[in-house]
Amino acid sequence: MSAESGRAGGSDATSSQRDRIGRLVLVALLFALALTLQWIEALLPPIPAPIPLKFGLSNIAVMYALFFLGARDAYALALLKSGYVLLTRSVLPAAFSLAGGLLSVTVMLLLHRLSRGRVSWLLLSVSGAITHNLGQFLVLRLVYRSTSILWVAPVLLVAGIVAGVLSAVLLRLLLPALGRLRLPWKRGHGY
Amino acid sequence: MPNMEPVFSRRRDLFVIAGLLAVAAALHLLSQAAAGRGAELPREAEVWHQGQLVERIPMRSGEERDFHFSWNEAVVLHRYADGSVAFILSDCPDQVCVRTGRLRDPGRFAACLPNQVLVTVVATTEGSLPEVDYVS
Repeated sequence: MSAESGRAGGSDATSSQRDRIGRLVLVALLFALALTLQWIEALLPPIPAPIPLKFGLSNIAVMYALFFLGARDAYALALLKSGYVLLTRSVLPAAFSLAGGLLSVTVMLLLHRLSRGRVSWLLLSVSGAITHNLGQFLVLRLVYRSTSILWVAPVLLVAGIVAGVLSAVLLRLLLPALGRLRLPWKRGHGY
Repeated sequence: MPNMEPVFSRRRDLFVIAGLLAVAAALHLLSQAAAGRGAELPREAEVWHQGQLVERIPMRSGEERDFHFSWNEAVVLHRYADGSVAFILSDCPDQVCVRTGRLRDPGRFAACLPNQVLVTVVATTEGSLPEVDYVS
């Protein structure tokens, strides 16, 4: 190996390491954003429903990760959020968060891939919010077997639509600020 | 996968969202119809705690009273004169359970997740259950 190619290889390795660190820092920033949004949301009145439903503003961070970084980072954020809930609350709310987060990311990802990118952000966000609610209900159903989905399904759907539209609009408004975080390792968008 | 530019929204999204709202409305009507069918049956409120069925409260009319539980004194249920049951007291921060209000029809439920208590109404074919004094 010549000295020049060795230097080029070293430069590639440094660049790759810098990219990995950059990605890690961005995921950490998105996690911080998610926690801040969770805190803001806790100050808002909850959605009227027989089970605790929220607008899921912190999903904006997960959606951004999915759209601009990739599925791996979106799943990582969903896991981190559940881990935080486990540390600060208890097992059941953490299970709610985990089931909702994983189902939501999976459905958004599948919708995007199966439609070959033809599904808009708005619909991806709405489907993510609805399935987030559904995942939470499934955990509730698992723990309390006598709950009926028929009564709560309309609430889950409507709350999901409202939360999904709100998240998509907020993400769009936040994009200029988030866009200033340079993503040199990423060409195009995520998923 | 083609590298298509992400689009915020499309015109057809409105139709999809309208369709989802229509499904929600249809499910609501179905739920109301199912509740109407079970309205004549004798009912009881099942009280679940930490995933276990711990109490059954007969939903008889005309006997209004509170229900306190030894396993969680932070939660109080009330049975109204019309037989409906509701959370009336809980120390949970969000008060979702209390705000759910009265439960009357089979299938309805209210959850207090911080206290891990869930109350759900079920139709029973066993006739009227005997009243039990729940450490009241």
